[in-house]
Amino acid sequence: MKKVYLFVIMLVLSTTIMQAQKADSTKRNPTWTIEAGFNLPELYNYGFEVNVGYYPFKRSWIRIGPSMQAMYFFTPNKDWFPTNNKTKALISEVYLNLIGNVEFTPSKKKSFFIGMAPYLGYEMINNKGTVKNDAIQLDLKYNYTVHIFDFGMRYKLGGYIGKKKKNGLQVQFQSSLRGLTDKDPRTKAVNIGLPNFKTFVGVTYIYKIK
Amino acid sequence: MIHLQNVKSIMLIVCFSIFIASCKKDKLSNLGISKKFDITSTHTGTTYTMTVFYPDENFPTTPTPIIYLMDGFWYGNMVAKQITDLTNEGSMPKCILVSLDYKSGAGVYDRAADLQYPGDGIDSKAKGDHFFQFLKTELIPAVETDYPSDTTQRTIIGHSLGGFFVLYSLLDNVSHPLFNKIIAASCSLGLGKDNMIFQKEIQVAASTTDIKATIFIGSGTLVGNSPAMHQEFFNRLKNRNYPNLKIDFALYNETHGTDAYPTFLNGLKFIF
Repeated sequence: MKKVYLFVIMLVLSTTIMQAQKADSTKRNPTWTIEAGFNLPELYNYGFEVNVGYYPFKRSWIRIGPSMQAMYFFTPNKDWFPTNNKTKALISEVYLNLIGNVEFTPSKKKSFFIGMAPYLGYEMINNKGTVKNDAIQLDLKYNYTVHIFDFGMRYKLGGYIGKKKKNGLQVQFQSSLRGLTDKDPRTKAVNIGLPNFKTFVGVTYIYKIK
Repeated sequence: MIHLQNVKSIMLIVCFSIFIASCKKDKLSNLGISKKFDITSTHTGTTYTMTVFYPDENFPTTPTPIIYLMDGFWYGNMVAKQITDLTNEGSMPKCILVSLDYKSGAGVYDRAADLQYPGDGIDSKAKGDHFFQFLKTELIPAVETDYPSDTTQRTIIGHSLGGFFVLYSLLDNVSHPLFNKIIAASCSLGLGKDNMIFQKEIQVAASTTDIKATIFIGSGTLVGNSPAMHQEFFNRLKNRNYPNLKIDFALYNETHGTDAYPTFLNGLKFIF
């Protein structure tokens, strides 16, 4: 299944890059963008994101600017073992990140770009549900919420398509570097001792506002 | 006057050095002494590769607690580092660590059969009872012939299916526990049609008045219903008031992939 997702992503990306490789004389660098996309960390965890970007610094080969990212992921109930338990379960994740985008446009006349974007922000995870089994007198309700300072890196590859280069597509890989578990006093300030990764690949539609 | 280009170069070198330093991992040889040996079980028909580690220059000559770690291919180095650190800070005695791995290199897959007990709703390949016999009659005698063991502090650690195994095997042998100290992390408590470990606990409570063991149970809060199930299992064991059962429980803001670290670390502090 993961191979299928990978294939779809590669297909979208290759089409986008081919389109983006077409030379044109329109203004390629955006000032304001809005992005919306689907992200896939694993088969039972799905996510959506909206990203508003502003690029005040632009040259022919690079553009730099911040963006605000909001993401929502969810994990529906999944019985990993055959069981008679009656369960309801949902894990929800909300992310609000400030991203510093650095995007390189290697070709002078084409809109294809490759970028890296360190980010930091806030993450909230909620895990709630119920589990019942009369055979062992089990009747549980649970609701756990975790707040996390999150930071990491996003890599992206994409381009603008169409004559006006108004619309674009990108594929991104984002990896969280947060480490929750390391209580070592030498590293706990930056939480890098034992990273707890959240990585995903995604496909995002970009609209060049201006 | 310092040229701007030189400053950039120096900063690059410093950043690169910090990056390389942060990537450095502790190897067993840096933490203490270690040896490997293979052992083929007549009970499971599997050949295991065991890594024996001790956080010192030489193995001990006096009776020492021995810790048996399931899924050593994942957690061997991590637990060795934890033992070394906790020993250095005086939070636990120096122990021998015996990490279990599979010679085939397919431990990620082969573990499932060893760590599940047969039962309703369980994979038909499950042979946890045979694996227990391997530990009891083959592995432990082999290890404790070569290394001086303090058998009153014999310990077993498991995570996920391993956590299920260490708890279930205790309940299955409750009259004569093979291990006195147990750390169980993020256990597969939902295994079996009607959660067979809960059923086993009810059976044990009906037939036993005491469990002589020290147990630490931990789970991440971000593992579906696992934290609530762990809390319930802990409550049930605790509320039986077994006179010689010392038990503690903790939840961590972690996922199933990361809750082993804090559970093992705090578990080692608790059981010793």
